[in-house]
Amino acid sequence: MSDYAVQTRNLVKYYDGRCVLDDINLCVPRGCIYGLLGRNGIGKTTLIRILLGLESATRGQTSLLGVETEKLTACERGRIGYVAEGHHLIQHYRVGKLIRLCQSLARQWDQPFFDHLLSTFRLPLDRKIKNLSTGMRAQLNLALAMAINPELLILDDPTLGLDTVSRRQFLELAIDLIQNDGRSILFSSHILSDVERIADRIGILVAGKLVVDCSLEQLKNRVKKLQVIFPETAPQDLHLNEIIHQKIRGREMVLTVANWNEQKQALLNTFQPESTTEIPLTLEDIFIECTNL
Amino acid sequence: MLALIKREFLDGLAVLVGGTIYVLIWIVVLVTLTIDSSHRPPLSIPEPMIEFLVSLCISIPLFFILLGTVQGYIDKNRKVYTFLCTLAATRHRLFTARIIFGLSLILWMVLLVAATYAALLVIYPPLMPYDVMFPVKMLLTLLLLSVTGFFLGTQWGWARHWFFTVCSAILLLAIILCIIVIKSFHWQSWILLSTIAAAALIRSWQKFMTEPL
Repeated sequence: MSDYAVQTRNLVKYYDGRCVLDDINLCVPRGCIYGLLGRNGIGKTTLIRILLGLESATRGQTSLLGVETEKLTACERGRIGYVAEGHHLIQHYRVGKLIRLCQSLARQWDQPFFDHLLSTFRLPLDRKIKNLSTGMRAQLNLALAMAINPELLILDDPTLGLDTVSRRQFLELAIDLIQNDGRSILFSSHILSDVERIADRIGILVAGKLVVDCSLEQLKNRVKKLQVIFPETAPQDLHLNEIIHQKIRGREMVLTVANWNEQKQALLNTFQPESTTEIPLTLEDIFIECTNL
Repeated sequence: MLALIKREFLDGLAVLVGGTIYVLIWIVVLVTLTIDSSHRPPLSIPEPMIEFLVSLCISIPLFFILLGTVQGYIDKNRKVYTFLCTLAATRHRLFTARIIFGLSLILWMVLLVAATYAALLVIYPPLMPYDVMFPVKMLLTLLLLSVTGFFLGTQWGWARHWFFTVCSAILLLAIILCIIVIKSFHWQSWILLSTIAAAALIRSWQKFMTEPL
């Protein structure tokens, strides 16, 4: 059995001659909540669709729960829950009919848990899916994905369209799910506070490349934002590697550096700054620094 | 797998009913024409029955081309398979369920025609002995034409420019019918139809397996 719930090797995807995903090597360990971040149109949904076999890759390999995507059997697919961006479902079905269909196809179905979710979300069974609000569709999609007790849950911007209360409920559900041994979640979201709350590993896609793939803690330790005051005008070049962002205003320099270490600190000290203050970074700050190139 | 087949039948209930009504209308026409011409005892198979089957050889395959195309087009646009593919189902199974539904519908419609045909031949037996195999050959050709039409429609339903695709489908059907007219209801026509049906099935299977959902 593979140690990874999700794995891609040298994944490349071209769309009309444009490289959308460039040599992506993504590994999501089992039992991990992995937050996939990136700006709009950067390829997060494409990556997820390739993982699920909804689209083919130009090059490279993908596997879910240790099985290559193309070789996933119906039974193995039944161990994976998916909540799609836009929550398409089957629009002309009534909620009750869709539930019965999912139930009949499911490898396992946790009816008490599903009933609990239905009553929590207060979903009307007799209404057509196309007549549900975006939030209700999201809730239904999530409930259907959770009811199969998935070993791997893939969520593509799942909280899009949910109100604050529903979002909180969703996050709690995700945490509940992960508390079961070996369950894994891969999710993409634009709400970084949600990601920061539940993810224990982060991946950031920039221009088709996976530029960050580490634990949240590591990411916060590795990326530093410093405010440096020099006795005279700040130097234009500090000769430091991996500067993500740098801004100079007279004697003050604000710089964001990746992989901050003692060597870099020593190099900075050679410029004899008057003071060096670390500015605390949230995930959102790091994300903006990394993607706003 | 059974759940997927059941879904196809439940979703295709309107098509099933529509197809049955369509064939029943044709059958009513056939029976009326046969009764009308029954005042003069037929020497061989009554003429209306032959004309009827020839007409069916055009209309029923056309029905199945449209069915295959419309089903594929609607499912693609409503992203039905996108959702189904993320449940405990593979593309292979989804495709098989769709084909089973189509073939069942074809069999049902052709069987209705065959039963009416047999009943009429028993009620109005021709005076002269006739080639019993002739109606069987015609019905077999009708069956193969319908299967070919459905497989072609299934393939073309996934095409991007479906209007031109349907037009080309109808054109191809016309060419096939011309060949049948030349070769008659004969094994050569069956081989031709079986080959086109197999090619269309393989192509639609390949398309369904590789197209983005």
